[in-house]
Amino acid sequence: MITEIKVSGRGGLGAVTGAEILAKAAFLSNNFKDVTSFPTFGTERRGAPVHAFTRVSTNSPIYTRQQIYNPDILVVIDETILTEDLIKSIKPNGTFVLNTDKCAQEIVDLYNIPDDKTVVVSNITHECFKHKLVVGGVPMVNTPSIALLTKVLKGVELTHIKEAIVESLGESKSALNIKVAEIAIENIDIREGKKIGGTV
Amino acid sequence: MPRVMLLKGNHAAAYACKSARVGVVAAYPITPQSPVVEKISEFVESGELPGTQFVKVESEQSAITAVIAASATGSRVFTASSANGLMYMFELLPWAAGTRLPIVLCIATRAVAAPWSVWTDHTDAFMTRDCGWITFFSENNQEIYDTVLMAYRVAEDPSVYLPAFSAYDGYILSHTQMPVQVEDIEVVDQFLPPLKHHINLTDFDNVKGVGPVTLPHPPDRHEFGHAPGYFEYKFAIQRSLERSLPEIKKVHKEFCEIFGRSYGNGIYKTYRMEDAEVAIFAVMSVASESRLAVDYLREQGVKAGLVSLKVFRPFPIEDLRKAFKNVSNVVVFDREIGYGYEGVLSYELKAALYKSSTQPDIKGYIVGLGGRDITYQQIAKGVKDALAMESVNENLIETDYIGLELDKLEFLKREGGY
Repeated sequence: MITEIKVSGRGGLGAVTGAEILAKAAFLSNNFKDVTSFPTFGTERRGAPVHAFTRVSTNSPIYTRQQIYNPDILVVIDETILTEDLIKSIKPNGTFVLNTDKCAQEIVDLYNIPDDKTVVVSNITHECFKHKLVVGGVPMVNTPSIALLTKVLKGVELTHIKEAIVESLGESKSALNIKVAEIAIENIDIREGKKIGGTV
Repeated sequence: MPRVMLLKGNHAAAYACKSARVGVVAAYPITPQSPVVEKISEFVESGELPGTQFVKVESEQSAITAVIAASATGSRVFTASSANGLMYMFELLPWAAGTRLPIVLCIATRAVAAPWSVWTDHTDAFMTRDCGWITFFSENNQEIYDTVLMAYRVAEDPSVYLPAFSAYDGYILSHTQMPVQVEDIEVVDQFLPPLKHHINLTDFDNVKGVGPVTLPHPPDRHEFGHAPGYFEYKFAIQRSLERSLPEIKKVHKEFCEIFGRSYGNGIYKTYRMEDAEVAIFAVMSVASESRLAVDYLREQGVKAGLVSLKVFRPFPIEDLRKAFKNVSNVVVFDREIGYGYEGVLSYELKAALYKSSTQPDIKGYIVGLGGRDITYQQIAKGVKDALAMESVNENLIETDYIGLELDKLEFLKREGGY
């Protein structure tokens, strides 16, 4: 089974690195037969919407090279880029992970999230500023956001995320990233989706 | 121990250069190629490639000139480029082949300007077609690593002595992470021993000329006999290219025996062709995505298969005649245009199957220029549309496109269409 994850944010927040750390964590876990990770390619600019993609497969090689249009899991690391289309793009019974100062039920009501979607939220921006996980005034929300997936993506544990963070960012930068990631998971609020039948 | 690493395509190429113990690397940065040589320069800087000279240059033309010169001294050399960078190397590409230098050049494919685009299509790789080089394609990052190693073995074989391109999709492979097995360097050494070059300029007892001026006819050098004319030199390149096909198969077979990975017969790969009635013909990422299209079509009762070309030059006519001998239709997806004609793969396949015993109908589409995404659903639809065409022969002449978005252009609507 292939699980498709889309990470959306703004240039400079680390969506691409986040998707890569997720792929690395999945790879290091040995729970997957194949993984791929890539950004929407091109001329990235700070502040512009950026999307990055990760596919993880439990049983078969991944041959598809197309972008992910309908993710199983959508991770939005900056609430200000949210659009109706983005929310609608999530697959039936899919998961919506959001960095926000609101609780899961508020998000469901505010954006009319259908019952079948699992909604996972945590106020990561706040914790980044509180613990000074900030580079050039920008909160580094990517690694804590990715860490939230340990609650919804079977096979990827926090130990794998930590290992991937250390491999990707080096020892010195990792400690603070891991600390805020752990706090983000502690503060998590989840609205479980109600499974609906049928396929897309 | 071999090590499986999560690598981007560009870095897979860089690790292959490390495994091949390249002697001289020169390159000039261009998107999306740059990370290949950035990684190699990291290896050199950190001391992981102690025998490698990294030559900093001010342009692509200088990069290819530097590796040509280094190759002529007997060193194993490497360079890489994309699109307009590759175009800037162009004058020296036939020079490398004509001088019979076993250079390996990675192309992270990119659309050729103008208009400017940093995104991928296969135009640049196909524009190098007539330079006398061998051209390999890859579908995934492991294949990129493996192909660079095989390319050196083939290029350096005394029966070949020609440069080789190893092309892979810019961004779609160059910037995508995938697991790649990096082999033990000692095992790679057995597969790819140090280069024994035919031209060794440091061997003063056996001095040879490099790049002589030639004449229309073989000049008479009296007691030394006749020297070849230009025509004879060019004939020799063509003959070596033709004869490199069995060498490529042999090298691929040996690679498979040592490392346990194979890519069809080393020339082309197939997927579900055993009982296929319609075949998709494509390369690189388009071929990879087409594997899903084959499964999708078969779920709908269409007996589809895939032929993914791995070696484009020399063009493997006999292999392709064999590959398509049992199908009634071939649908070709070209990520480039042979301007003024049609997709290059499409017309080259038509020529290859001319007067073959079973001549399938061949329908070509142009897809994904300038980085436009290609989905397996689009590929499957293209196949079904081709099968539904009443008069295939008429439709064969006109170039068709998948994924064009002319309907979005308001000015066309105002002017009543294109």
